[in-house]
Amino acid sequence: MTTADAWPGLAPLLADVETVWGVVPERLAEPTAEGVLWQVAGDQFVLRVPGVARYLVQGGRRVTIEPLGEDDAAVIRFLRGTPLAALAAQRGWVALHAAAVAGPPGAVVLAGYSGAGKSVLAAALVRRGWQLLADDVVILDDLTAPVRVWPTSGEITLWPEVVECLGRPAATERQTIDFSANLAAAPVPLAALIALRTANAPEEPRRLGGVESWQALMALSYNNHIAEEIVGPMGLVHQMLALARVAPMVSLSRQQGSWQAEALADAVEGMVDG
Amino acid sequence: MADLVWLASFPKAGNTWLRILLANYLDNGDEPADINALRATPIASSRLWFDEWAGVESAQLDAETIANLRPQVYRCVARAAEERRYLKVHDQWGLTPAGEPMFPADVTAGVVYIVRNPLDQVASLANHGGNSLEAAARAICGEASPAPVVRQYTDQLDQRLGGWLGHATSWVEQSGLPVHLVRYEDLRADTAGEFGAALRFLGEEPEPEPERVARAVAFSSFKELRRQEEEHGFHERLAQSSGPFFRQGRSGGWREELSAELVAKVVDACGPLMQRLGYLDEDGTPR
Repeated sequence: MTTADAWPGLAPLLADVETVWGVVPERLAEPTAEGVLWQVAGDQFVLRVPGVARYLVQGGRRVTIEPLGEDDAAVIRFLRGTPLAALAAQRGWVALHAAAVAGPPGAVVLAGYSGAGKSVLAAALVRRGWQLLADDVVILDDLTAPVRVWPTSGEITLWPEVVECLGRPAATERQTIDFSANLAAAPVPLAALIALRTANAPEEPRRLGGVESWQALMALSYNNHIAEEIVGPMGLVHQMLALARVAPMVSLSRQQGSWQAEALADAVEGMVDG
Repeated sequence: MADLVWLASFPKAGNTWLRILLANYLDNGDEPADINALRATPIASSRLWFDEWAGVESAQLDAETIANLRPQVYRCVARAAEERRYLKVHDQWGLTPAGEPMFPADVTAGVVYIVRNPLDQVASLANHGGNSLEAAARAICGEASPAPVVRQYTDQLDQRLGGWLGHATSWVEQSGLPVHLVRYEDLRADTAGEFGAALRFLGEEPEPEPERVARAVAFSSFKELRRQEEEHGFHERLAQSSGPFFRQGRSGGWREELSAELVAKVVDACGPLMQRLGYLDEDGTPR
């Protein structure tokens, strides 16, 4: 395992990061914060995924992985989630819980809670010729304009309910679709942040301001508890304010109970043209 | 570190109304709480809460792993809280696959369980989910599992409801948690008295201030809730609902809404507990 194998799109950015197989402690000695499967102690972060692997991320420079089972694909899949977000935070970067695609205006980040429809919208846009940057974790290494959005994933994972909207056979389990042929080869300048939501009545896309913009920004972080612990609560606030200064935040709603991937893709393309 | 209170019910029993009463009481403001920005009562099945406290996205985990981790997520929520957290919950009480209670006693201050005549709940549930009365009755009887109303929310973890009888029994009799049982019908008939009793159970105040309770009750009237929903909508209403979220809230509507067959079906499935709660007379006839 090399860092380039773990995160191919981020290889230039992570050239000084060592990724190794090794023994990872179940717990850190004196954690300053902890969740169910994670702990933070100073510049160390540990994540334990039951039956898959333990991950130790240290000082933004070293990642140790101890597999706990036979599923190598799962070891990599989980590595590309929270451990990457922790590594980014340790390096002072920003990890957003979002998908991202690149088109004529630049990179468009699609943020929203799990289930809001980020992935299906990203897939719909990629099918229209946009390039894929990220499905779940967006990495920004510098918040001074132009902010670059780095490619992190050539795959998109979809809820079974939405697979059909992409013209694929119905499914009962979550589906991971390979879009590596559409993965952007290099980082792309950030053009817009879209906050995806669900609503029970139709809503027009609109630029967010004031409290709404603030709430949407503070929901962007990949994992607020972990990010706050690593960069500090005010560090996180400063990062998000810096992000707000460089890119507009637009709200885009889908109606509950239907995925409307094509209609949302039309809306994104309409915003871009407009 | 703080403790948790579960506001538990089968869907459409009045849980949202209880949350609004509580929000108005805790806010103690000069105007009614905004129903679209209710403080302090998120749902326990929130996917975001789970994801951030677990540290791994629930979307990537199987149902058994998620269920086994949920009690620990609630312990994290309690540990991080500076003041008591009230959590709405529609899950049935029960054990995780690993055999641990899903809602851990060690961080639980108490449960307010709100129960409603299942005959009235049928039409309310049908309206909410945009379903037929027959489909809603099947959910009440525990034949549709999970109840059709729940699968709509991808921002929530899958919830196990069971039927009306199993749901109530699980929380009230099996959980072993301190439970305060509120009948929706009593809350309608004497809102201040019943809500005050719930507050005393929770120990919010040794003796809740009558004026503060009265104001919370006034700010939570159906007229006020309908007004807010008509003016601004209500985000907890489902897109497919066939009417407003705050529909009529009255008791006994089933007499006009349900066929004799559906009444018999619900009574057959829920009868023993309906009788104990006074929804059936001694002969087993619905009141």
